[in-house]
Amino acid sequence: MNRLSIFILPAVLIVLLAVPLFVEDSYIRHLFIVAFMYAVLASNWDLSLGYTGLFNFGHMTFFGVGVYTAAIAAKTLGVDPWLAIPLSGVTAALSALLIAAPVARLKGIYVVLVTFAFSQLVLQLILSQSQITGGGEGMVRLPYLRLGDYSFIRDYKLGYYYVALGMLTLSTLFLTALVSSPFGKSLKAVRDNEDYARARGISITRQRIAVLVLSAIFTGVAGGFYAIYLRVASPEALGFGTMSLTLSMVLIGGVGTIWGPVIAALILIFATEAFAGIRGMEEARFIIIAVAMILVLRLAPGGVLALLNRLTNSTLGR
Amino acid sequence: MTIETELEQILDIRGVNKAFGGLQAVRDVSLTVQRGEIFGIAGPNGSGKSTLFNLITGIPYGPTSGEVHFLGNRIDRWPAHRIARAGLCRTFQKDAEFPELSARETVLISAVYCGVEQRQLRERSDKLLDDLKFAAERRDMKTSELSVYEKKQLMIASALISKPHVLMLDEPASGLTKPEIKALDELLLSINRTGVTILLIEHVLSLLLSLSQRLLVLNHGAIIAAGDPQDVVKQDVVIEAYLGGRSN
Repeated sequence: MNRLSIFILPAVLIVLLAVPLFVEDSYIRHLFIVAFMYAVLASNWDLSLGYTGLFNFGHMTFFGVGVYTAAIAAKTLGVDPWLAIPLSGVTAALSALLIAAPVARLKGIYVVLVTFAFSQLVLQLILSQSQITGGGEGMVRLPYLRLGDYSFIRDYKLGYYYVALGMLTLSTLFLTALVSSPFGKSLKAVRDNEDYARARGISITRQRIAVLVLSAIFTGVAGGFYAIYLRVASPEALGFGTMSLTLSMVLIGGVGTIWGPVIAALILIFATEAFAGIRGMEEARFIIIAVAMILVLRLAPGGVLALLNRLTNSTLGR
Repeated sequence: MTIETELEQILDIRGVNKAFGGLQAVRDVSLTVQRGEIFGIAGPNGSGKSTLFNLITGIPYGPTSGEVHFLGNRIDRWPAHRIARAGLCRTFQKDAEFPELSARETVLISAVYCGVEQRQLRERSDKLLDDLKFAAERRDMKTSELSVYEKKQLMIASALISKPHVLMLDEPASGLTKPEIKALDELLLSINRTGVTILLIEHVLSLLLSLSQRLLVLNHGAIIAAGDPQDVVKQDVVIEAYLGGRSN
């Protein structure tokens, strides 16, 4: 771990834990919750896209599977929302296993095509099975989280804030441990030199299947949380807007860094909301994200995290 | 043409061919390698030496026809990673590297995926890097920051960590200075003395002749000569094909 990870990020976690003490505004807390959820999505996408170099454009499908699993389990089957959320992680991982089989042996643009086609397939499935999924209108009024008599809707979303922060913390610890392990190092090896990796006994197919499944677990959990928190499951979860926003977080934060997309998610969610509040800039915010993405890719390909690392290193005199 | 031996065979290649469309890159090559020897492979550029290595290891492709047997198992349909885990490890002509991994990490992951026990990992990789005289202060640097010689050392170290039966080296001396080639000569001899069989492709003829116990020469994908290295290099067909004309 570099200095940024060791000193600054735990400090950021402490600050985030303290935020609700100072921020009582329900809407600001909502923005934090959404940012935490996007941070989980983006950092897990970074595992397959950044660490393994797998152009997986079906990542949001795992999120969508999570959303609908929680919705159907909690509303249709009457499963406790506390169970429905982790169950979303399981079904998302299973769906990743399904797509991993054909994708693991493909390269480059073919991975993009197959994963994108898979996401469209799942979207069409959701739209066509309206008696189960609610079709284009989705499912509404999903059960919310309770702890005994305490409803998480109360206290200006205080409970949801800490559940979301807990989910982000667990996911980030999981990803950090994973990329620091020999398995994580082997992902970089596979990404950078497939032939050399094979010559050292690494199975490319097995690594790709494993990485898709592992990146789907917390993505599915985030989907389940999203459905229970907003009390809605809609096909929008698999839409192009959600995907492009998440992808911009990965690219702006720094590909192959895990922490970068987490930081970018916080910045982008608040920045876009800030622009939304300015008259005439409501739609311009998406243009600004696109421009930011191009500038980062052109001027600082390592992303925001690389810039922060450079800044801390120069400040500390390294 | 076949090169045969009656001693213990470790690698047996039977009539392998490789065609890329209309181009026959390797043509009916058969050879056997005996345990513990250093077996040299020579030939002019484009003669099929590296392609032959590719066919044996399955990286990135196997043969169009023919068979490869290793330790009594037919391996030409095995996936490449399984061949490596079985103990047939290769290096590459160009400096293969994992640019974002350190030297230590490169050796460690090779050990993990070739089945070295977890508790032995660090100790064994450190000892191996010590044996190869890899500078201790450069082991945690990113591979992309290492010198050409260090990258060659590392490629060999990452192959040796799994204790392979056969080490296949593809032009290990390319890009090295004379002192580095001398050091490489000593290094390969010391590796061979530990019982590792070596298959060596090399353009630096002095290195090939000093190390190899047997030599095979390829031209246009086919074997044109094989046998004792000193005898092979004197054959007219080799001089014409490999050295480009008649020697004095």
